[in-house]
This record gives sequence, C-alpha cells and structure tokens, in this order.
Amino acid sequence: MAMTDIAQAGHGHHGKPQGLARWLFATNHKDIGSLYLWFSFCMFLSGGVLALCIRAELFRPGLQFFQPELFNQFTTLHGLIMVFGAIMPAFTGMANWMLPLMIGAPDMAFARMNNWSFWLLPPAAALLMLSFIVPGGAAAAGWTLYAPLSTQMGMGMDMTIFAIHIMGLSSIMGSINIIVTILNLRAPGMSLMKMPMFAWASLITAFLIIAVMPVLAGVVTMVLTDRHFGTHFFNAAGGGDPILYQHIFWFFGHPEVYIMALPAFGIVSQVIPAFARKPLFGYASMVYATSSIGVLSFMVWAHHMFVTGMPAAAQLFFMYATMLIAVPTGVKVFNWIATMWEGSMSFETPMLFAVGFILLFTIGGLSGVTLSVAAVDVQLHGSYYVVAHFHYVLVAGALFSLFAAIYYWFPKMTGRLYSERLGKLHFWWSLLWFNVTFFPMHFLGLAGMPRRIPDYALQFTEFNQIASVGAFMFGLGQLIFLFNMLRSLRHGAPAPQLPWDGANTLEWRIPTPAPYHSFVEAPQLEVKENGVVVRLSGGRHEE
Amino acid sequence: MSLGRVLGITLLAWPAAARAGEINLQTPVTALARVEYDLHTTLLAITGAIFLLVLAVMLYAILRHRKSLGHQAAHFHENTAVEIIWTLLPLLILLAMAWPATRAVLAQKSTRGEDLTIKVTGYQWKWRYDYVDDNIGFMSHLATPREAISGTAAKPANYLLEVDEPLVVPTGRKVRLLLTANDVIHSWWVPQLGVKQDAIPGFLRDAWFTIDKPGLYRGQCSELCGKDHGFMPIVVDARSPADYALWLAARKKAAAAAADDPARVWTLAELKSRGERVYSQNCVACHQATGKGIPGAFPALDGSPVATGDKAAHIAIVLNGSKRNTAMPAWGKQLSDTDIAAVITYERNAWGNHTGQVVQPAEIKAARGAGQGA
Amino acid sequence: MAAPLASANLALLRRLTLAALLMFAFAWGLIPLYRVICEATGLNRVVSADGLPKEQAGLSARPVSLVLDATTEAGLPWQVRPLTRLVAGRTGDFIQLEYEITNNSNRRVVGQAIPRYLPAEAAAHVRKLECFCFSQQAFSPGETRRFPVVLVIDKALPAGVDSVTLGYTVYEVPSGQEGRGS
Repeated sequence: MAMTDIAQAGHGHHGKPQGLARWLFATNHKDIGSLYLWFSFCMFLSGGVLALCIRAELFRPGLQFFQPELFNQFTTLHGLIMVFGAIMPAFTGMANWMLPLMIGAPDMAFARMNNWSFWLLPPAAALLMLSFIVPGGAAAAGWTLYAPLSTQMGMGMDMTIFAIHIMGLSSIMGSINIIVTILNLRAPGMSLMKMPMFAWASLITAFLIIAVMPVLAGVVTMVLTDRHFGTHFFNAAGGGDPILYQHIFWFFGHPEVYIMALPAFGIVSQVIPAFARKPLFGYASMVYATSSIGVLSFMVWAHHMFVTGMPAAAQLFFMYATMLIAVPTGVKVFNWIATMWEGSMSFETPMLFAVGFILLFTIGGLSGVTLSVAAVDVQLHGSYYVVAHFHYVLVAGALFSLFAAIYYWFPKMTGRLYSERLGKLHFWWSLLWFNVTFFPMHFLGLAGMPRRIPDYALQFTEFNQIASVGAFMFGLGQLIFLFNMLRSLRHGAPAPQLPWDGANTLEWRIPTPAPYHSFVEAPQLEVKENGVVVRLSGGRHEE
Repeated sequence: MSLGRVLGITLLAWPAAARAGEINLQTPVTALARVEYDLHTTLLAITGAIFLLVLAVMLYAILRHRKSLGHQAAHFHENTAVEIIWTLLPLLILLAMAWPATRAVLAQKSTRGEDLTIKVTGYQWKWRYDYVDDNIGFMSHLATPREAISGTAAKPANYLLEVDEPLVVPTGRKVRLLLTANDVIHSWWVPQLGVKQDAIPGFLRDAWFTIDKPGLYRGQCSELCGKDHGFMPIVVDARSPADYALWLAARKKAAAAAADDPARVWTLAELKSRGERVYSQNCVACHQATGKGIPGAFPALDGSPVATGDKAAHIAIVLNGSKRNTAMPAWGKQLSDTDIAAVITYERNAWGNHTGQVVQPAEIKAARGAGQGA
Repeated sequence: MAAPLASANLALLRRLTLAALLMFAFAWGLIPLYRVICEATGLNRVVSADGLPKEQAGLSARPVSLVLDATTEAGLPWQVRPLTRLVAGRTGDFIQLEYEITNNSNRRVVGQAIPRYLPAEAAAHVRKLECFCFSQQAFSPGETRRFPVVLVIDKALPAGVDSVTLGYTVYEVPSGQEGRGS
C-alpha cells in the first residue's frame, strides 16, 4: 500500500468528480458503497434467474427444459453467485456507505484500496458468467465444490476457482478497510463499547473474513493443483483424502454462514430500536453474543459432515458445540423482542422487514437445532430440509435485513423518500411468497427428496409445484423493489434530515442527503450504547 | 396440472397437498429409523413450542405496544436477571435434548454382531452390491426408461425409484453394509431404514439395519455425484429369511450358469441384442439412446470415427476410458469381456452405423492389458 | 490526515495482511496436521510396519474377530481377495491371514495396497508385522501370488469393540511413479 493512498483517505478538498471517472476511480466511501450495492443487486438478479431456471425445471417430474449437467451448473452457480456475488458484497457496500457516517469517520481508512476491492468483483463475476459458455460448461459440483467430483470438471471449474480467488482477495481487502476504519477512525467520544451494533457486527464479520477466506482460497488452490499439477491432496490413490477437502472447506464454510448472518444482526439491532422508539435491550450482551457466535463458528464445522462416517466421539463433540451456538443466537432474538416490548412501535417498511427477519430467522435457527442433532441429521442431511433451512437463514436472514437497511437508510443516502406503499407491498409480497416457496421444502426433505436433483419421484410433485409458483412470484416481487428504488431516486419526495423520529445514531445528525465529504473534521461526541448520540459538537462536511 | 389448480393448492389447500404427498419422515421399518423418527418428533415439539412462545410474545408487543395506539415507550434497556434466565433456560433445554440424541448416535454407530455383510460400491451412476459371504454380486441400475424421463412415455408409479436389480436382504437379521465408491463420493440413503452413509472412494465405511417386515424400501443417492446424481436410486427388497434363502440359492445357480464361456463365438444378432441392454444400462446417460450424444459435452457415436473406424481404437477407448474427456470411464474394470464385446458390436451396428463387424469376447480378452500401458 | 494516524493505519494494515497470509498458510498446514492426527489416532495409518505392542500389564486377552475385505480401484486389472473372510483370534496374539492377488491383464502392473480399518477407534490397536501393503507389488501378466499378513490386535482395544474390519484399497501405481513412496 503506497503512502499516497493514505493521503487520499482524508481528502475531500475538491468537488465531486464527474462522469465515468467518478465511478472507475472512485475513492469516496459513498460512491464505492453505491457501486457495491448496485453490483450486488445485479448479482442478486442473476442468481435469482438461475434459481427460477431451477424451479422451472422442478415444476413437474421429468426433464423439460434443462439436461442434468446444465441443471447442476445452475445449482452450483446460483449458490456461488448469491453467496460471493450478492450477499457478501451487499454487506460490504452497506458497511462502506454507513460506517463512516455512524462512527464519525471522514472516509474509509484506505480509500484507494477500497476502489480496488470493488473493481476486482466485476471481473470475477464475468469469469463466473462466462464459464457457462466454455466447453464443458460451468462448474457443476455444487457451491461446495467437493473433491473428487470437482477434479472431474472442465475448464469452467478452473474459471470458478480463479473467480473465488479474486472475490476472496476483494473481500479480504474490504475487511481490512472495515477493521482499520472502525478501530482507528472513530470520532472522539465514540468508544468501542458505545458504538452501534452494526459497527460491531461489521467488525467481527471482517475478522471472520480475514480468518477464513484465505482458507477457502487455499483449499480451492489444492483442487486446482490436483486437477492440473499431479498432486493428490484429495485423491485416495495418491495417498490423499477426499474427506480432508470437506474438513478444510467447512472450516471456512461454517464461519462463512455467520459472515452472512452477523451483519444482518447488526442492521436489525439498529432498525428495531429506531422504530420501537426505545433503546436496544441488552447492548453489552448483544456484543458478547455476537463475539461468541464468531468464536463458536470455528468449532462446529464438522456438523456438515455427519454422514461421512466420522467416529462417534467426533459426532458427539460437533453436535454439542452446534447446539451450544443456539444459546447466543437465542439471546439475540430475546433481546430484540425485549426491545420491542413496551415500545412505541410503528411499522414502516424497514421495521416490517426487521420483524419479518426475526420471525423467519427464528424458524431457520430452530430447524438448525433439529439438524444439529446428528442422529436426526442422518435423515435430513443432503435433503430438501437442508435447502429449506439455509434459505430461511440466508434469504430471510441476510436478504430481509438488507432490504430493511436499504429502506432505512435510503432517505439519508439519496435525499429522497421511497414510496412507503410500494415498500409495504414489497414486504408483504416477499413474506408470503418466500414462505410458499421454502416452507414446503421442509416437507419434501422429511419425505425423502434429495437436494441437487433435476428430476424427482412422483410423490414429491405437489410441493415442488407449490415451491415453483412461490419462487416465480417471489422473484416477480423483487421488481416492485427495483421499480420503487428507480422511481424514488428521481421522483421521490425530498427527505427531511430525520425521516424516522426514533432514529438517534450519528448518521441522522448530518444533512440529508449525506454530504459528499462528511466529517472532514471529526466531531466531538457524547454517545450512549448502540451509538445513540447524546451531544454533538463540531464535525464539518463538504460537498 | 393446470396453473389454476396449482395456485388453488398454493393458496388455500395445504391439507390437500398434505394428502397427496407426505409431510413427515417416512414410516420407519427398522429400530434405528424409529429412534430417528421419535427423536425428530420430540425436537419438532420442543422447537415448535419455542417458536410459538416467541411468536406469541412478539405478536402481543406488535399488537399492543404501538405508537398508533398511543402507547408510550418505556426506557428500560437491560435486566440482568432476565438475561441470565434466558441464557440458562435454553441451555437446560439443549441439555435435555442432548441426552436422547447421544444415545441415538451411539446406537447408529453400533455395527457389531451382524448376521450378514454386504459390500456397497457407488459408481457414477449406479450401485454395486457384493454379498461377500456368498460370493455373488451385481450392479443395480435405474430401471425407469429414458422415454419416461424425457416425457415421451408415461411415468410409471415408482418413477425414478425403481431398479433392475434390487438389494435383497432377509428380515429380522442384522445386515451390515460396507460402503466404498469407485469414482466420487456417493451417499447411500434409504429413509425407511434410517440409514444414510457416504460412500467414499478409497475409504471404507459401514452402516447397519435390521428390517422388521418384508417389503420394498426405496431411496436415492444423496450426495451430488455428477450428471446423473438424481438417477441412481436404491431399492431394498426385504424378504423373510426362508424366501431370502430361496432367492440366494437361485441367484447362485444363475450366477454359475451365466458365467460366459470365454471361448464361445457369438453371432452378430446375439451380441447386438445383449449389447443394446448393456448400452442402455451404462452408456445411454451420456451418449443418449439416439447415439447422438450431447453436443459440446458428450460426443455422438452415430457416425463417429471411433464407432465406424478402427476396431482396435474403439475397443481401447471403451476398455481404458478417454484421456481427453474424463467423463468416459474405463469400462474394462466394470464390465465383463462379453458385455464389452456386445456393446461395441452394438455401437458399430446401431443407428446409422452399419459396419457389419462383430467383436468377440476373445478379442476383448486379448486387448486387455495390451493397450492399457499406453 | 495526521501522520501518526496514517502510520497507525498502516501498522494495522500490515498486521491484518499478515494474518490473512498466515491463514492461507494454515489451510496448507492442515494437510500435514490432518495426517498427523489421523496417524496418531490410527484412522489413516498406511504403509509402515508397526512394532509389537508393549506388554500391557493388567489387560487380559479376549476374543476378537477380524473381517477381511479388499477393493480394487478403477483401472487396476487385479483381483484381490482374502482367502478367508473371517478370522477368529484373541487380542494380544499373533493373527495370521492370507490374501491372494491375480493380475488379470497381460501386462506388467505395479500396485499399492492401503489398509483401512473399521470401526475407526480400532485402527490404532491393529499392529501389522508383515503385510504386502508395506511396499509396492509388481505382477507380471497373469501372475497369481499369495501374501501372508501377520498382525496383533493389542489388548488395549476399546471394550466396546469385539470385531474389527480390515479392508485393503488397492491402486495401480502409474509406470512413472514406481518406487516412489506414496
């Protein structure tokens, strides 16, 4: 990192750059945040189209639209795109946009590195997309890329591995930026144990990313060398072990689940107090719960491997550890409900999505407890029950919280109000069709339908048809969101500085829309827990 | 099914759908599956109760503590006693759940005292069963015709859950499975038996079951293993010990009779008809019934240089697999000389290929090894 | 931005980058680590001869049965089979058994066998004194040979285990790699 980059970080003494250059050479955290958010939305739509292809094929038994090989490519790329292209960049984008405003920093710590972190993503996404048209097609081994299946694929697999390297690098750089910004650039008075939960969640997530993304990069590199350079890491014939792949992958993979969930916890912990007009209940225990989830997430990986035939002692250890993680997660849910309790609640769109998040995430969490019991997991592993479980955690968890965040901060970001009517329609529509899509998958899994199959036995027909209809309607509903955003960006009513009367964190104390260069001079703050501003003096902004 | 009817079910007819399909674990027929079933029911009750409780409290707050009702916000933001209670209470509930869960895990792992051992080997995309005590073994392929899958023929009742050779086992006997795989990881899952175990290439795993009553129990591979992962079902045919003994005796006799005389000279028609069967079991997934393959992924055989040109090259690629396309395995390992001779003869005389050439089992025997070091 | 802050940022950046690099190294380090764990617990003990177990005072010998199996990997034209499927023995005693290997092809083939054990917790207690898996085996076309295997199951075998399965997975050693350790 060059010294000039540091010098860039605190800039802001010249006007807004114009045109394409503003985006290509963006160093402003708000511009980069917007790039991240638009990019992840495009990825969300691409991954969504793949999901709809999957659901179309599964609408009825038999092969209608896609051959099995292509179907497997769809399931694989749907997973990879949603995880690495949509959810993770969306949270990074949200953190980029809001963190400096919430903690009183002038910008992210390394502005130019921030630019690189983002601009690595489009080439990686292009690699993934282009892999569909190379001979042999895209990777078709599932997003987990289990060896030795992943050593069989064509060059689409190499492109996927390369894309994962690039996206991993991007997220590591983004995380370094987040950590340094939070640790070093907080305004005076914004102490760690007072800062907003969203900052805490982003901080812990960033540490998780730095700890596990290199591990993922390592393990896919091993697959690459097994494929092309004659190594035998995962090939039993050469003294390797295919189970080793799974151990290393899930050492990354389970923390990854929390990388996608913790920022959601942070967002909900900002939104609920604002609309309950009541301080967050149990701030300190929220911080401890979030941290302990982060630590525990490194000790549960092998619950993804209960049917690989590990010794009973190992099964029991990972079963207990996994059950244990339900405790801090439960504490968080109880804290949110206690925050709502005796509040003075109103239900604008962000609050609706936050409440919907709690409801659905609780279902996903409880089905997770069921899955954690190794003896029951024998029936459920690799079935549609697992598909239902992780979509309750990731769609209802990550996606709903992201919608809550975007609706919540939209006025501050754009200076305009979104249409509340369309926002509410978007919420109720999504809630209904999400459940229609994914709830029946619990039944399918229990009844014995394996996941990742392009065709199924006749007794699974009805629930698959329900799920397919639900998926298409859910997908359609996201166009309401897109329309609402695009229209409100141009024609939304001007937003006041404080559109939510219960919102009391730092970002709501600056003008609306947020000035291009906010806090070029750090403010003097007196804050209460969860970043609630008691007194603010100084703090200069520039356009 | 019309879109209207699907919408109807979607919107108001959960019960209708529930009638049509199952919504719970399949009816257990082994002690293990019963334990799993009951454990799941317990977990469902506990987690369901927790969910309802959380929902009730949240709903109460949502309905009563609203600004629109003029409710004033309280200002509490912590309560140590409450926080300790709701940390410890879930912990106690989890401890209570861990006890039966632990016992069930230990039961699943107890593979001792078996009456019968069967070795299960996963292949892309079929299963092989070897009755190691009795020296018989066979491959088990999907029996649903390709036409039913592509929609040009009606779908049978057990669509995708039927095989040509089910795994036959006696009831009331402890059957131990030794599992491994030939190529990638597969997973052997029969819900009613309560058994799911990964089959891992190069490694040995085991699982066990004792079936209560005779019947056909169906399952599927549950670990993504490539293209036809969805098309490698498992059927277990449980018979009374007496019936099982009869089956075993007949099977052994048939195995002895079917042992092909390697020196026998076959006619074109004989080999073609046998080859067609071998083709439909092993080759059709990639090269297709039409012999046209799938452009870009799997080469056509109809009119291809390999299937119409040099016989030795054709034999070599079937025996040893393709170096360029790893999807083409070395069939020499899986199929007998006679089966390979038959399928090659078939491929050279099917569709638009009319070479009229016959490949005899003796030629395959000669070719084994000769081409392998290359 | 003030210079001290910039250097503090840089210092943190360096440390975090180092952490990321260490984690990348850690992923690779998991391979030997995993191997060590597997060897220590006997889960994946491969080709070396084990010594005789130490005299285990206070532990009494008890009956144990040994189930034998063999799997040849795709492409290896060998038939590998135990001459008996089931051997009854006692812990602490020498157990002798025999495998027969036939090369069904008419070329020279070199193979390597890797022993696998079930249940996993028994693996650490099976001590092989003589085994064809200690080295690569070369077979001329059509050759058949028998190999004796001598092992001792030590008396510390966990009480819950009264039957041990020994299954060999046999691979072909590519002609370029003969003589190399696996």
